[in-house]
Amino acid sequence: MSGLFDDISRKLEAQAHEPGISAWELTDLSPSLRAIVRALLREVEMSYPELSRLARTLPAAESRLSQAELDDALQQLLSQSWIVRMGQEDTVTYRVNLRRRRGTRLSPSLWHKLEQRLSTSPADDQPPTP
Amino acid sequence: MCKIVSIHSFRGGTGKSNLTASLAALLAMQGKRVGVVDTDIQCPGIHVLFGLDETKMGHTLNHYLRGECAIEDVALAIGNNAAGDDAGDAPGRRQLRQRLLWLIPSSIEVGEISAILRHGYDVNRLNEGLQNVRKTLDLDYLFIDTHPGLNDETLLSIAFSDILLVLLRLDQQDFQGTAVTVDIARSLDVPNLLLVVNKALSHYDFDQIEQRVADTYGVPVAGVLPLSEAMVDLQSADIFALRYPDHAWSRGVQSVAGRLLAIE
Repeated sequence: MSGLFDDISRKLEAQAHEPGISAWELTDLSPSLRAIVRALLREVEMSYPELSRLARTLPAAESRLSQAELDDALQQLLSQSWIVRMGQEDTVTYRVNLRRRRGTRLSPSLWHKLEQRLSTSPADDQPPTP
Repeated sequence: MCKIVSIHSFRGGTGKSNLTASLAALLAMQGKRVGVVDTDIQCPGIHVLFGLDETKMGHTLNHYLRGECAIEDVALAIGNNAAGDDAGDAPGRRQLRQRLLWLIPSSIEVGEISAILRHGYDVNRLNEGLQNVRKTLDLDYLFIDTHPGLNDETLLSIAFSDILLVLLRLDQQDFQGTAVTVDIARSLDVPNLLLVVNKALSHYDFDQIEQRVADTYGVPVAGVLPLSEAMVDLQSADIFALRYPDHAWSRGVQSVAGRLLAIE
């Protein structure tokens, strides 16, 4: 299960530096916030009227949001930079801001050696004959 | 409306890619418009089942993630390509000719894989690509073949899926890992969560396995598939469920496909 612990460790490290929400953090959201983020993930971009309609018609009745509750929810997500608002007034849309997947932190020299190895032609790669 | 189906297993070697390819092929044979995305960027493999190698792949998911092409440029129409004339030795795949099945492969070039691992990538771009491709191709089903275990791509695909199929073997390590996956899927409110047991020994009582696994996890079991020597012997050279439709494994997968079709 080392892969799981590596991922958790990376998640904690990433939280400290990168803006945006990670897929791991989705599990910690309230059902209403998660439903909003999930809808934004699938639609990529949604307008305020579309989000209002979604908030009123969520499958679980206890997760449905009034207009004021939706405004609070959006503000909460915006303040964490987990979603972003685009456009102005009548054309405002919202998108999820997923945290960038960081590259590995392996030593650059390792990658350099790998690239050198890959650029070596098969003929050059033969062991020397005695 | 397109249904997004993620196929996941906590550990490798469960038969995830074979199941994904067979399910996708069976639904395409039913006239559905089907996409398959290989998000296993570190260890891509499902392209082999569709008869592709690096000479037949053009752009890949890696190129898209690096901003070098549009996602539509990556989607390869299997019915017009890998199921074409060179599928003569793959009678299963040949049946896909003219069927509406697309594959979005990950690159198998070491340099492309290492570039993504080394520099990371914009996860928003991955999500937008997956969502756009289902709209652009007007898909009925989008299958996502994930990397085993729990990583960002896997969790993201679970988060926006309509259906999550978790594949496991009858093995203590699989049992524990599957429990973790099921817990996470529940906390992400996946609308339809199903388990599939693969590689069950033929002398086991499959009905009993189904009942016990369902009771243990509190999740419906969509199928119990037997360990198949014929599958090993095929060496990923074809789509098993199309090549051997009367095999017990294929009948099990046909039943799983029926469960998917029944989900509203």
